[in-house]
Amino acid sequence: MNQRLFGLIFTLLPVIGYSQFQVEWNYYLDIETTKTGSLSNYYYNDIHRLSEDWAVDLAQSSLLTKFHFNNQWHFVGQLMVERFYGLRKWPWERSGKYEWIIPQLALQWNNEERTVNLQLGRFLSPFGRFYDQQMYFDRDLIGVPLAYGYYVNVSTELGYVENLGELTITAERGSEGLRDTLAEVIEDWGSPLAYRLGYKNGLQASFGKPGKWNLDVALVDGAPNRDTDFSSFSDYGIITRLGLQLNYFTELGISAAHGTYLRETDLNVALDPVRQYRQTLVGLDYQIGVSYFEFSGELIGGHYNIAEYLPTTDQFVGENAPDVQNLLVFSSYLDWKYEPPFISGSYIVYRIESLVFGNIDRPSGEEESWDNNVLRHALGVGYKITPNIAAKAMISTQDTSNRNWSHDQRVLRILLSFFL
Amino acid sequence: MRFAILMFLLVGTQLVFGQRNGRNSLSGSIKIPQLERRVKKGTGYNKDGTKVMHSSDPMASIDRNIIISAHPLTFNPELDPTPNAYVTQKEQTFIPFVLPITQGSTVYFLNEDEFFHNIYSLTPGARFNIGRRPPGSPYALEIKRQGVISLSCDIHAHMNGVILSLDTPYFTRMNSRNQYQLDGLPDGEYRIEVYHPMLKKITRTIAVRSGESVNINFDFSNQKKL
Repeated sequence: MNQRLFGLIFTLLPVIGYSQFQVEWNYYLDIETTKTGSLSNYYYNDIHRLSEDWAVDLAQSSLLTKFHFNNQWHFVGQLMVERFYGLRKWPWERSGKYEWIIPQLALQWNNEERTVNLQLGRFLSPFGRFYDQQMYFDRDLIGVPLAYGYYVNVSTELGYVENLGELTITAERGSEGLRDTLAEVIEDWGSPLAYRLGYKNGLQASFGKPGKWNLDVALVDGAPNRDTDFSSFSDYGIITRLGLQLNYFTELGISAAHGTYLRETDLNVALDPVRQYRQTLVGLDYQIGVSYFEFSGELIGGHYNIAEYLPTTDQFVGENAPDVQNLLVFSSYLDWKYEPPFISGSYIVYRIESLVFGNIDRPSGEEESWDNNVLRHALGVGYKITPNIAAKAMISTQDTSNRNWSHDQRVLRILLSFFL
Repeated sequence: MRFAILMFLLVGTQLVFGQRNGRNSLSGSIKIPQLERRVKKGTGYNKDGTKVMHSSDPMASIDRNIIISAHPLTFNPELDPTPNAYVTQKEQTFIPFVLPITQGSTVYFLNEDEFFHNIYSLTPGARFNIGRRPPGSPYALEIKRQGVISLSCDIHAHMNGVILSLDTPYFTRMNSRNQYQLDGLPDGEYRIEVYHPMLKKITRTIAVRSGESVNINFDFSNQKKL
């Protein structure tokens, strides 16, 4: 089954169902303008510097529809168009690169008491706090946290590749036509800890007592970092999240995920079977809200069972068979948000976040981090102009250990969101 | 002589206040098309991680939130604050969906869920944000603006409600049998407005006097969607 068929199903169902079922829907359109540092990259800080500063373009558009066949059976579908890996062009321009995405396409069932929910198809990963990070409009800051947007040196084809993203930066530095260069080098930038679009194919069961606790268990097509397509059904993984409402102002979530992440290709025949390589994530997310203040954040620990690929030799490291490395990474962020009551509809938010990488084993015994640690600060403001129009702006800066990129990866983003 | 003075006072009072002393009533039925409540901006998830909930309370349904109001055209009515004007948030739903009040009334917002809620309005002239509120502790807010004031919850994006702030004390709500009864209307002319949360309102002008009982039926079948 290919993406076009899913698109056709998605298109037809609203037509068939609109007059017969209760329908929930929404439509979002986000327009953005940015000023980025000279080495701003999608895989480092969520936005690629390709055209002149302050160019206005489409950031994201989404149509979500939910049909309630009755009190127990539902269908949810979402069609989204987003920049293709941060490229900045309007979709109707020939050189524009936009991707059509179907983040949700699932049949859902719940019991009468709504204490058990099942969904089959494509749905948002229950891991961590991605549930309110998927769409630009829902994010307090325009960008996603490092755990969801920073591409680490893990290729879903080759495993660990040292300096994976840096190779691309080097290539671009000497190029005049950045747009063309990006198209050539986009093949592999690595992968974030959790897939940047946050959806998975599979079966999810949710249990709980509304307002008290909730347990999500999803059997899906791969680990959280595995980008999902319609050819990944041979991958497998499990993602769980236990949400606890400790009191009326504190929500706590404990997540765990484990699964395969290497796609089988001609490049990794030496790794056969590729399913032996797994990613494991554990996470703790929290949200505390009182009066006009909100504190939220997430701690994630990740482990990769992985082989190392050397681009210089086109070989995997290991004498008879590829050596298996155990790589660790930790990610955390904390958001402080304040909604000034004297400016209704406005907020200000500050985020501090970090990615810290463990060491990789070297034959020499030398201690070497497997990627560069990152510390990012971001400040954002938002204002709901009308119930259907909102504006937000953010500025972020990040320090990357052992590299002098910090000043080149600052970004200022201004977003205007429309929704129906 | 005393009798003459008494009669003079009675006649004088009748002349001055007679318009307001009537006890007229307005009643009838309202035909509404079968419209499921469309929940806009339903993202399928909540910002606090809780599952999306919808209350089955009848006061959250469309057909219990049709408001009939009579706006005097020949006199200015006194606007006493509407007593017990409560909007509760229960099962991630505003109850009632539409709260009619007289302009200047104090509305109490009450969180009856076991998690926090927020209420804000972006209606021009009535923008407010009461922040996150704990369960069981009402928050009072005086509504100064007249008209439709939309309510939202920042945490649960699918929640929406309405305060209908009226310049008249004469209003009622359609009952579960699709009927309404508006009593105590003083003599005079009125513009009758029937508010439907999803359809264009219906207006009609009437005159009542001398304890009249007027029956008017309304039909929303051909009204445009908002």
